Amino acid sequence: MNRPLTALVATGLVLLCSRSSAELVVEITKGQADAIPIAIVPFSSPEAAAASFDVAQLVSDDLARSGRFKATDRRDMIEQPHTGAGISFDDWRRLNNDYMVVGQVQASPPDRYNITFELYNVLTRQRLLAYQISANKPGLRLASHQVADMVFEKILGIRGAFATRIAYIAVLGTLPHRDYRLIVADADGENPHVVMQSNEPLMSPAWSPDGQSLAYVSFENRLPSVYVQFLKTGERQRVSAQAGVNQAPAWSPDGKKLALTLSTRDGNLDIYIKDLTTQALTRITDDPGIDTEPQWSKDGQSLYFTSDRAGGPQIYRVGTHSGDKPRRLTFQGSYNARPRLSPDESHLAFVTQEDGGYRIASMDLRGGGETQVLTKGHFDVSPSYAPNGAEIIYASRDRGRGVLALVSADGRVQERLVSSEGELQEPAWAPF
Amino acid sequence: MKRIISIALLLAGAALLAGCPKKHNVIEPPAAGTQVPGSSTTAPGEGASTTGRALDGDGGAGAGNYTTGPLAKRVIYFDFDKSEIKPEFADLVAAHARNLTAHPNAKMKLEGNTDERGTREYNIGLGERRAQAVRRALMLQGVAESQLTTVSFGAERPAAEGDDETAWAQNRRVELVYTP
Amino acid sequence: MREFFREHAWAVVVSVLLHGLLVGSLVLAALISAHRAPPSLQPLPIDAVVVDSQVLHAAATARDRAAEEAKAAAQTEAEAAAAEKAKAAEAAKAAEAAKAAEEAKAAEDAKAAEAADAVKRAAAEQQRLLDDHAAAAKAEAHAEAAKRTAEANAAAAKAAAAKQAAEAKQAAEAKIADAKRAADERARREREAELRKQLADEERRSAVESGPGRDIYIAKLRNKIQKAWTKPQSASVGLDCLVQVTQLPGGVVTNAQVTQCNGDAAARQSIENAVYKASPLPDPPDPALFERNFVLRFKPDE
Repeated sequence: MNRPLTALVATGLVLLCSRSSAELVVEITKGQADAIPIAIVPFSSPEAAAASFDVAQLVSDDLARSGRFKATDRRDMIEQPHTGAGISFDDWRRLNNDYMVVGQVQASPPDRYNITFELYNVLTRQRLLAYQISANKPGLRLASHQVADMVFEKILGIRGAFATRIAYIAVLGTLPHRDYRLIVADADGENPHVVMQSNEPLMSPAWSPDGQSLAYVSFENRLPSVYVQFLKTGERQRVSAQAGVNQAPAWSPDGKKLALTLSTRDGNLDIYIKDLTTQALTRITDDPGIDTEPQWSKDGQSLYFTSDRAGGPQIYRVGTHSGDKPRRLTFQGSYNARPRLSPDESHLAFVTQEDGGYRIASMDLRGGGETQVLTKGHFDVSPSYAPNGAEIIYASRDRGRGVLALVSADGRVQERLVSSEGELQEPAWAPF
Repeated sequence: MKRIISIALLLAGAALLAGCPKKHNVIEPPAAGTQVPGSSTTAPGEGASTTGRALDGDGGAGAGNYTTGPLAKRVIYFDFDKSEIKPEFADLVAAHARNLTAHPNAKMKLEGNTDERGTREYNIGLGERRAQAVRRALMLQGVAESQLTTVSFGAERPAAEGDDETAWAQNRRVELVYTP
Repeated sequence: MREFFREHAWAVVVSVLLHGLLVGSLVLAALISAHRAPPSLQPLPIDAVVVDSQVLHAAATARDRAAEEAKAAAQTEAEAAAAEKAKAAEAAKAAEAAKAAEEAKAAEDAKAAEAADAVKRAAAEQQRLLDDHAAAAKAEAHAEAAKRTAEANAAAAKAAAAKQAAEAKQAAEAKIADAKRAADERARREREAELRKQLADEERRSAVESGPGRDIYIAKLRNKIQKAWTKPQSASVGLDCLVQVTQLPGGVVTNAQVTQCNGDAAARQSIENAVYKASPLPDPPDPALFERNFVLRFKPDE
């Protein structure tokens, strides 16, 4: 054969043998920032074991309120199985559920209940959880919140905070006869208990690290004084009531000290640390400006606080050993106050002034300190982190009324908390 | 006999009531038609009607129950985020300073307040700052330090409810309270 | 026309023969590649057994019961079997494709061999013809030489005629060579054309695999999976996860395995869920683009 022909044949053979097909790789760069659809099927409950509330509904409401789950409406549940064996997964999948929980509530005489539940991944048909919880009648609500905690943690990998408590101030009545109440309730706002009541203002509730006591400010002495109250017994201890201002109590991580704001005779507000055992007082700041709203770091070596030494209120950090010079942390805007550290110390929440209003902002403490404004209201103040760091409770105003609201730590979701009567303000989320 | 006792009781009761300490100081909002406190111009104190308050017990010599005259005005208003005493209140300060210096046993409590905007604890500081400003002004005019105490209520004791400048302007104030 | 035939008789004959051979070999090659062994038919044995109705009835109820009991198992078995069948079909298809390719190649080779043979045979024919010509020419020369003594003029004339004949023969030979060359040329050109066609086919196929069709397939997959991915808060910029996906023709996902992933439990779970939620995956615009196994890379840009 001649050359060109050979060449042609060779090329042809080569092409025939090697069919070039690169491996198919598809890049996914976007998703839906949606809540995860989950169906909490009503738990079966025989007449004898009728609980005073709907357990499945409580679990469903908890998960929905976190903003990370979309709870399927009961009217969209064509069947209501109580065990995994009764689930036809294709039907539930067709109704767009990613996960589902089925369960039962049974009486365990003489006076206990058993909650049995299973969590399924509808898409893979895997059973992720199967538990039975035993509780007495008063503990049934808490047990139900614990079910929500377990489901939350299993799917998201974050510990749930549904079985925790909150404290807040409620103001009832109208001027001049107002009634001030310090209230402790479940994290969903249910079950409120009045732990302190006064005709004079109450302020600044702060949970001790063991969740057993509350420090707060009371004007019952015609001036702001700091008290610590042991919740189980109601026993109170007056911690600081010197002339002038005693306010903004903050517990040290070991629960042995309180940082607080005191005023000198000529009205200079500074931050001090009071040892609750020895009563010793250590001065931390000494500046003609207003220094207040202290918060401890987790290692107890630093305090975050608000100071207007530079003109308007900004957030600073200072070491608790004397002589340390405060370092300014906020530089954007003219009003940044009331710092609150996230439980893992990755973020600092605070109140910032924006567009003539006050909003909750969060600063990333790792890296470059980027600040993100989380809320959109006009009077959003008093942020407090949930103990799992996933959410922030804060005070807001809605149609002229003080209410409590929730925002997820990344600002994605906002929810209103069901409110009791009165003007609600200064919420504080209890530790685990 | 019964009659005398009951009348005596009535009179005693009335006397007690007259001296009964009021828990809270109230300034009623200005009557319609009078000037509402604005950001700059005239103060609401002038031209506004204030109710006479029963003072805490016997206000000490020289305090008395004034319903008219400069000593009847017991509130100084401030601009937003400011603790400087505006010129229109100079007379008020002077009048009380004169009164206090004339009666060295008289005591006064200065209650600082803010409007509801901002964080509560920082507002306590602002209220205190305002009270201190009035205290310094009085001391400069000869009032003894021992005659004055300050307290701050921050935003906790508003004089007027509302989410607007009308209400806020009435809440940014220092109240001058004669104490026993 | 007749003169043409006469003058170029051999050329015409040879060329006709050559063309005939070429066509014949092509036809042969086609026949060989199309030839398949017919399926063998065998007679089915018939069992003839006498049964009575009771036995039949009992057997029927037993059968029904067994059928009911095995229904669920059968269903799963059927699914498995279907999967198996599909796999087998795939394998068979692949095998057939390979076989067809091989057969085509064999056919090509055979064709080439045939063409070469034809050319060889034509050359041999020409050689034989030439030999015949040479023999004939030789015989004539001999006759001429014998007659030369008898007639000198005739011999001279004959010599001239012989010379002419020789020249004519030379011309004929040249023409035969030309014809041979032309036949060669034609054969080669046809061969080239064949190969070029094959090349073009191959090019078209690989263009489909990397061209707009593939892009469309990738876009369809990406779209459906992105819509199905409920991204948890922990899945943000920096997440980089690979998923091995296995699908059946038709798009049903049979396996989604998160392999390398720097995300937390929530992120991994959400990714796995997304693939199952997007099942059945969309069809490619060209069935040749279907990939049974492919990789997803989750790398959010926000």
